[in-house]
Amino acid sequence: MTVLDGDAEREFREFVRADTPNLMRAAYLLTGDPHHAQDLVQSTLANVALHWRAAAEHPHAYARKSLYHQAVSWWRWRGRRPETLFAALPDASARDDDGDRDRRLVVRAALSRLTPKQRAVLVLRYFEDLPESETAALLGCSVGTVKSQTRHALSRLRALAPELGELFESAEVRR
Amino acid sequence: MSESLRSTLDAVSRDVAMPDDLTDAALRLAGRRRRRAHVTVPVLAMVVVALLVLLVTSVFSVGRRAVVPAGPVSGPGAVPSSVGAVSDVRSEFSAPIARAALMYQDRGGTPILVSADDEAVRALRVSSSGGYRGAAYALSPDGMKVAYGWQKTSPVGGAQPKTQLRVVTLATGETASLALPGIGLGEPVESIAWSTDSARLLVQGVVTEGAQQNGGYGSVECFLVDIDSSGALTRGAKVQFTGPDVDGWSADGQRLLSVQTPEVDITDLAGKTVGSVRLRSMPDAGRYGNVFGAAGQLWSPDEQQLAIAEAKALPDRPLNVLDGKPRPYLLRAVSLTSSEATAPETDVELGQAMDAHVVGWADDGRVLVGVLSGGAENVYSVDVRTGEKRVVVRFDAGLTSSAPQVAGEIVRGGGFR
Repeated sequence: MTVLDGDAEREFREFVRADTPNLMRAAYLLTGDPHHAQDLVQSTLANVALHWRAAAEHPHAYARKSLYHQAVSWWRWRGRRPETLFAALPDASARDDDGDRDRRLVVRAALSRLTPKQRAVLVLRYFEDLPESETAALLGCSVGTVKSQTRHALSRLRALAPELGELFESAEVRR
Repeated sequence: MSESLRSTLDAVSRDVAMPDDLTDAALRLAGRRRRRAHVTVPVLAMVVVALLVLLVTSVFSVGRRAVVPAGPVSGPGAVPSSVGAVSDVRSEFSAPIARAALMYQDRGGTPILVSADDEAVRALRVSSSGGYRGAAYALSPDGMKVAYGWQKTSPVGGAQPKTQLRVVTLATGETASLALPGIGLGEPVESIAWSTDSARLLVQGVVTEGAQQNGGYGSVECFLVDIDSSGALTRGAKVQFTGPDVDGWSADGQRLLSVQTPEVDITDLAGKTVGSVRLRSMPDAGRYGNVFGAAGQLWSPDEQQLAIAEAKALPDRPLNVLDGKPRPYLLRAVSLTSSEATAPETDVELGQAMDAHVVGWADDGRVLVGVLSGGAENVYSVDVRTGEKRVVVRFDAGLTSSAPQVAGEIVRGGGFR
């Protein structure tokens, strides 16, 4: 049973090549684990392929919506396992100084302690740079919910990583 | 300035390695899903009908009881194996228990209780009808009750969920409930702390009702709940408590202790600070202390000391983050009698562990500490004066979220009697 054929498959392959890096990066922020991120992206792409006729016009938007919805529901079904989110620390890169690496580690660890919904809201607002209304539309909730989730998430991050308080406070000012 | 959070997230996201082309794998997965859908739909229809019949039958047979403290605990890793007096844990019971000495959660998050009287093991099953589930389970210090939030955590938006605080009496299975109007959405009941006499609760919940209309946000509210002799719950005054968690409640019920490293704050129920101690950085502690706040500390019953389970910093891993690798953990008891706790009175090696946290103080000065290592979270009893330690409860490997809480006998004796 072939899911796509001919032109549709060629277009899908082009879309995957172009969008995989962005999807992987967002998935990594959402899951905190490279293996889970790859699973999530692969599952998202399978969804897009299954609904290619509907998604072909705006495949990126379709994939993004599928990715975030799965990220929230996956973690709901899998239960909360904060102690296993991170399989390993990233290798130290020559370009890093200690401060940058520490900051990334702290932010990554703190993100893992948020609820899936809070993580999704933060990634959409501050990584994808979406306004509140688009974030709400994508997650299927109200703008008020996005606001309250953002506030809880930033407040939780401040408590978890007080040494980065300025980072989160500046984000709150912008919100 | 918000650009800095954005750029930090951007930098974090660049740590992930890009996979090879996922097209073929995605197409194979899509094909499997399509084939499965063709088979699954008729089967699902039959299952739904069967479940509906089962549901109707069970509603008429058990009425509206939300909690059923019964049934054998099943599944690998669900029953603790043990040492000392818990060596003969039985796994087939159907009657309620009078008092629990220990509560932990299995891999699915179900609370499991171990009787203080005969070491029987029970699963506490909570109704999940309408998408609701239990959360923030807390065993009372007398071991006779379990409090929890009954709440809806999934999809947000729409009508306010009917979040409740529930308290189940283990001996009878009777459940008292208290509606929490306004508390809802996300992770509404954040924490529940019992007073030392098991007669009061301090509940932290997220209030979101009205927030959307105001154009504002939800806020965390902290309030008291009293339990009378009949078991009925009454909502009491708001408490101006701003700490992340209650790490101790004074014996007279008037003061709360919370730790936000390096500050230790003691407040009264009106929110006024009545004591403050600054923990000076321990010589070999992590650069930022315990990043996650929940470092597993606990106030001693005489209110003179604080027991802290803390990971040692390693040269290549200065941060105490949950990175999936074991670290050497220490149990430290620090005196709170001066405004600055400069040196630990006790420094006990707990060995290599993934995580550790203090779960109880015994009257004889022993500290009970849960140590997660090798996939199992064992409970040690540690004499903070001599450093002598022994395992009092040993769980099977694979209990990744055991989160033990202790009460009753186990606390008084520093172990099961």
